[in-house]
Amino acid sequence: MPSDNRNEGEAVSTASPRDYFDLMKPRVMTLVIFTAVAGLAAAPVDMNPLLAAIAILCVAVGAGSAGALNMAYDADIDAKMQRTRLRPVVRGAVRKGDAYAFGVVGGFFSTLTLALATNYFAAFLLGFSIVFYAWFYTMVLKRRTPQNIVIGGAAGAFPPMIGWVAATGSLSWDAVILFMIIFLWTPPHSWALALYKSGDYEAAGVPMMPVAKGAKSTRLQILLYSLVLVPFATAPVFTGLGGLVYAAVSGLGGLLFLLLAWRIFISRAGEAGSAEEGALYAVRAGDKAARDLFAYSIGYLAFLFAALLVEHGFGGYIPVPGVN
Amino acid sequence: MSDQNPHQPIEQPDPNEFLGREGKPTGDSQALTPEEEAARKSRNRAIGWSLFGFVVLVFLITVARLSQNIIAGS
Repeated sequence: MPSDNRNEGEAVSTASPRDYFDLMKPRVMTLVIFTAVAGLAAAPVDMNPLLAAIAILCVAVGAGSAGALNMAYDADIDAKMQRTRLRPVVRGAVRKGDAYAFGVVGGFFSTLTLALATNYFAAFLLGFSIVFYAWFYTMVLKRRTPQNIVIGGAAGAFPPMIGWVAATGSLSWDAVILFMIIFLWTPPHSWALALYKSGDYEAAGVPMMPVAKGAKSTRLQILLYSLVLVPFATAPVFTGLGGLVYAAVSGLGGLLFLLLAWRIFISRAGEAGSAEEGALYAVRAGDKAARDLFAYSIGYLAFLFAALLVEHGFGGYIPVPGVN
Repeated sequence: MSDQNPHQPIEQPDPNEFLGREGKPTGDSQALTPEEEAARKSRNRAIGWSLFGFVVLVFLITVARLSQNIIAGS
């Protein structure tokens, strides 16, 4: 029997640091970092650049820790889904217990360091968002309700707010608006993916909207959420947070978002058996519309926050005429 | 009167009993494959650098916060 905490017959881990890095969901982390930087830059306080960089690092590691805890808990359903079956815990590269430990340690140290570098309020928000994602979304909501990503999406909406609070030490309506933009963006973004990956979710028994309520209802809800999101995303223009660049991006980008959401609504995305009969390379008729909105939605959010970054971080702010 | 016999031989541990968790030497060892050895080395290196990075971060934070407070005080 091995003389450490391994079970009999269990091999010594061959996990590499890269496997642990993959546990942190690096692609999700990129968007988290970007929105946190934008929130920090948009805040009306000049922050020490070194402390600002450390704050962003803390938010990134905190988000990665939440991702690691999510992968540890969801290993059983990840194994059943094409999209996630190569994740480190599923592959056996990282043991479940090690992934939990990695997540807890990373979450603890990132929160602690953020408290030291900025303020307790920002650290509290980071800690809260980690617990919200890793426990409330992953362990409570995800397998129980089709509203999982509506409520759980709040976890992903925290980074710009944390950036703002790290710089200012307090909340403001502008910070709440940035939070709400990501919160409202999450359902159409996630459901577009769920529409063309509904087979994956069905196999794993996750009650995503297309699985639980059907494709038609999901397409309608994508359109309804988009109709709320796009006008709301222009709110920073009216509070003065967004200038001309933001107004142009949110206006034109929003129109395209609505167009793609409408295209999904009138398509047959997510409907089983909608393959074009007779076609040599038959694809499900509506899948392209869903895939297009999913891909575009990432760019849309990135462009909104890039506009804020250009305006507040690089001096590109030009006030919109008629707005204070 | 005590039941213990002072001349009773000391009880020998059961050779099948696992003692590692009690921190007692077991005499067991396991040869690692080259892959396991290399992976363990790279993990150890990553942990070492992370700890070193954390110490540097705390130092930098301390210096930055101190200088902020000095500027604010003056």
